[in-house]
Amino acid sequence: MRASSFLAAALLLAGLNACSESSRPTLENLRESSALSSPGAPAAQGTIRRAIDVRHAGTRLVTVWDGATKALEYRERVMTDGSGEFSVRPIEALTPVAADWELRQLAGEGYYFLYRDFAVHDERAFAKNYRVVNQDGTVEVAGRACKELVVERKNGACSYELAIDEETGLVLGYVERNATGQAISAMVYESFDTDPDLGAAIWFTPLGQTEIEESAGTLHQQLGFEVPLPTRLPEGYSLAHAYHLVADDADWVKLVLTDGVETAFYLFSPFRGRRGSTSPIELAHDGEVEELAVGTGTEDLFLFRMGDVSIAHATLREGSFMAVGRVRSQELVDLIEFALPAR
Amino acid sequence: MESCNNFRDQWLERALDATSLQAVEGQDEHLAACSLCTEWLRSRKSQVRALLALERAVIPEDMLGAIEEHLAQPALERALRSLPVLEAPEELAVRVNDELVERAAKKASRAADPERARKSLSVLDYESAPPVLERLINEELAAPKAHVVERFVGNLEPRLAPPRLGTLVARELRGPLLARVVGPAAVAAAVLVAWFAYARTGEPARRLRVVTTEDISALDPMARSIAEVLRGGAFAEERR
Repeated sequence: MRASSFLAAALLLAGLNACSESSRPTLENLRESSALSSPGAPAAQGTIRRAIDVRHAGTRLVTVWDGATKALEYRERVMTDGSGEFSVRPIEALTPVAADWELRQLAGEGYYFLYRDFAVHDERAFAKNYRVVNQDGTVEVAGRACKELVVERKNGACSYELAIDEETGLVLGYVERNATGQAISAMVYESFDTDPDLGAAIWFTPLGQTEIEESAGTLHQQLGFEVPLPTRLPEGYSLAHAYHLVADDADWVKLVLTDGVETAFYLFSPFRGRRGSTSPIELAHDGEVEELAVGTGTEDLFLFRMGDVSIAHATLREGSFMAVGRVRSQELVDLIEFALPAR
Repeated sequence: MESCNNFRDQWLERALDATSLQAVEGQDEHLAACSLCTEWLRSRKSQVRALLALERAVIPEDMLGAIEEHLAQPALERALRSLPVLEAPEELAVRVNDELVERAAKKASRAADPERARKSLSVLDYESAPPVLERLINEELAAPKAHVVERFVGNLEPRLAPPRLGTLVARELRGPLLARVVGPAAVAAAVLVAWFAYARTGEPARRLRVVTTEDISALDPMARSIAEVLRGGAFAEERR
């Protein structure tokens, strides 16, 4: 009988432990949920710096492959003051593009600068998910001496061949390869100036986006609406940033998740009709008034693929949910489904 | 943010009036304290400089007259007049007519349906007592005194047990209480908690119907732009 009591106590402790881990998450939980330890960061980690932290200007050549063919190749001009201001402007497309290509590049300026290229977004996650497989070579890029480095995702999903400027630590060139070794994208500086004249720069201006402070109270207290937070993130990912933004008169919460290098996005907008309204839409027909529900009222999740990028989108009674990332489609489905409250 | 918007609105309203503009920039306390608006102002001025550098083009002579004539009409009238007048397709008229006829027929059939009327009135029928209630009443009537005692014994004033009796009972139950009550209760609680935890981590509260589609045009613009960035700027339609 005593043995059964010990067993019960052990089960109770295990259950309580598991239960506490799975309780409704806060943003802080999402940062900690990956339980990042730092088991010896790669030796080269400290030498890689983000473009936004290094004052410079230059022209870059960007190439994107779709299978074995080039889907897009273009030149762009980049400028940054090293203190948070930046500007990325397309110069010319070297492959056929749509008429509005330049406008769309400009519209996505912030995303392109912050998320398109190789960057270590979270050092602990980088140490956990990536390993350096080669760091012996040297190469010259845009007249600068660079150290060659090859890093790969520990699960084999992708790898990067990097050229890192020896003086500044900036990544002056990279080729990203998928699990089969095929090139997916590449960027290389064709000119590089560490002391540019930034007087004429027109810096990127983020519109209507503010970072959510975890210490300023619950999300509901800060934003005025409930935010379903995911309890299952893609493998190796944890929260890097959380933002509140307003687009098309609707509130959105955007979570930027990262595995250290790659980024994925979780977005939620509560269904409140126009901003600030909580009235449901009513439709009168045949003498009866039907409350049209929130969104489509269906329980459908639409899944898209654009090359190696997956997009999941669902309009449910709670609001609109979106998830975007270079992860398995099922991981994006999980991201949304594991955020949903019960019916 | 509201004060930022106010300052920016005022600046934009006076953007073409240099004197008024200087007054806004020189006296505004907000501008002196807000680095975002300072930067915003610097960016706008760069744009103004860029725009001023553009070569001026001469507008056609009759353009102003045409615009004035156009604006003389009320906006709603202009919008309505600009719409092409289209005849409703014959197929639409037929479908609407069919729909109206079908709805009228459904209404009429509902009104004349005796089964529907019977169901509506059935709520007024009294329900017969279930057999178990009848049995209990019969048992109570067979031995009314016994049932009165059974029912009201709980209302009697409780009497305290002698202390000696309490000690004896406690000694008797101490061992079995832990073994028989706490043990199983802990097991049950642990199983419940473990099951609850598993339910929370193993399966989501709701499963959605996943629809895979290649129709990128149905995609929300925000999700689409993020996906395009992660693709390095290669847009969906350019891959086709």
